[in-house]
Amino acid sequence: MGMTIAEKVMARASGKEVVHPGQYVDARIDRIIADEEFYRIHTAAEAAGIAGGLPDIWDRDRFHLILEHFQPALNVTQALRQQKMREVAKRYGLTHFRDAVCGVIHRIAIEDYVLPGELALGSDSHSVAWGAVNCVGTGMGEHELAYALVYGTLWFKVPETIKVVLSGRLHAALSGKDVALYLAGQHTTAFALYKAIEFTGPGASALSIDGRISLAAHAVELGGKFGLFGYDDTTAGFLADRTAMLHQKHLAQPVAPDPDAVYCQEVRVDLDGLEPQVARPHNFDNVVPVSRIAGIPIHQAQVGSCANGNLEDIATVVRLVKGKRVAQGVRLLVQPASWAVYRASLERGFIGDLLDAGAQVLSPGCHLCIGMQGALAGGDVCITSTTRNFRGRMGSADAQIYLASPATVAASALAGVIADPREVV
Amino acid sequence: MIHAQRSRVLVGRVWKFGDNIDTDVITPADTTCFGLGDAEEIRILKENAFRSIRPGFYRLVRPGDMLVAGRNFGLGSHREQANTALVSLGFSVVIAESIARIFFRNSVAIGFHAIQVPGITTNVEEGDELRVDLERWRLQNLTNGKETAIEPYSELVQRIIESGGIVEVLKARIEADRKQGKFATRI
Ligand code: SF4
Repeated sequence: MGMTIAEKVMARASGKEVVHPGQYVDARIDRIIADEEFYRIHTAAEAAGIAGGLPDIWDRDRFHLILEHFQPALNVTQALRQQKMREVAKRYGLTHFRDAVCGVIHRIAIEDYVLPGELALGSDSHSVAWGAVNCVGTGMGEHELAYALVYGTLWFKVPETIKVVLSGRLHAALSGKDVALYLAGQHTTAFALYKAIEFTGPGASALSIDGRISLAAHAVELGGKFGLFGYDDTTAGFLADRTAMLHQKHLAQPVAPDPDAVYCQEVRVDLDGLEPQVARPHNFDNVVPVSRIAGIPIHQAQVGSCANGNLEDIATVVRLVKGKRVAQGVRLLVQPASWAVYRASLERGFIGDLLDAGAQVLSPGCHLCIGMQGALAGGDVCITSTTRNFRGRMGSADAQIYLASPATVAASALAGVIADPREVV
Repeated sequence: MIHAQRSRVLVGRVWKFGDNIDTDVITPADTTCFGLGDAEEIRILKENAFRSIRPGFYRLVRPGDMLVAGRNFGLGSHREQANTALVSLGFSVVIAESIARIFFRNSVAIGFHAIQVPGITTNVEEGDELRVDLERWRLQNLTNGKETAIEPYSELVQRIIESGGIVEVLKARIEADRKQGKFATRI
């Protein structure tokens, strides 16, 4: 019986010929990437009475520490945490510590660190995004990472896999975000609970890495443990441009599902007729086609996050707003996911185009996604391409957050109301 | 560091929530972000837990109370503070129709009981008293007399929870290794 991508990687990592869903395995971890939560890993160990914290790191060349959710710091609390982080990074003698010039952890991970076929863990739920480059990545809490960092292994339950087959082609004004929202609307946020998702079919192959990142990142909004794409020329092309960690590039082990792999469920999505999708407050699965809510006035429009702060997303916004002006009374905020994305945007003239259109461009990071910047007051209505519209995530619990693709956000920013981007593109 | 209680038979009063209770509702982003994990942070987390849907909740919960919820409890962020906040509020267990993956793993990792019981929300009302027996794997509603089976934890999960969480497991392994001379050179 064949195996899925997740099963193959779980088997390899636990030194077994075959594994089956439901089986518990002790798997070797190929890579761990932590953000400022590493400080909690250290303190959790100390608090439990492990004198001095973790006694060692299993492999310093496979552990990356990134100061990212708030770089640069916005207040003293954050600055203090950063100070502590520098202390522990030094104390543990870390080889790969990124202090400044970061961005969103997942963009950095995909640009510079994770490799196809790896089993990789991140101290953040959207680590599933790494599946965009065929890396079996997922998020873990600090206590579990403490264990994994010392011994390089962790327990896993081999997940069942759902196959999501994308057929047809997306309209030019739609993106991976619309597909993720559509799936949540149809199948709820519990769709893939405890399961892996494999995105496949011609519609998946046609997606750029940025489009794949958006969909893979949202595997967690669909409940999933992994959100995986296969390895193809697009992946190879993306990795060929990599400039960091080149000494490890040969460790990539692209993995494809066996032809007779067994899936617990198969879902087909026809991209041809898909309408732009919007999630209404306060949940990712409260989804309607944009036509159902077009016309709702907005105050703020945002493009950013691990899922949708990538170059393709910024290019989409520029395509819509270039030569136009954001509607009066609307704040359009754009936050590239990394400084590499920022630089590429700059080189293409996108930053100037955005400024001309009346947008505000922020330095890379997570600020918009959790209301550290651009916080919302009660009564504010925001449409955003970030990842979550939970009540209170961006400030007041009485703000309304709608989630949509960068194109829908940009079209809405121009119109001053929620709008269908297909009318502009 | 907060340790959850480890008794195998729990009795307590229910607070009932709906579907999709996310980590931002449990522990709002502005309260979880980037404190130092000290007593002050724990106080802030506790006092703000569930504030957007039940302001002042921390004043109502008594030690040993139980949280019952619908589908996909704890979805969202990986933040462990959502799990520790439930412990510091005094909850002995969360019982939901289903529980988000990271939230479940984090619960196990800190030694806190999180169990999935399909149908729980139809059999339990707020204020009911429940008896959760994790030896016989039965859930009894002492208020209306209804009884349901609970799917047992896997052996591994049971072992981690009963050890008091994964850091306790880690600590024991490190101590054993240290006796063998491993980790001798302090980093
Ligand atoms: S952009 Fe948002 S969802 Fe992504 S890592 Fe940052 S805070 Fe998390």
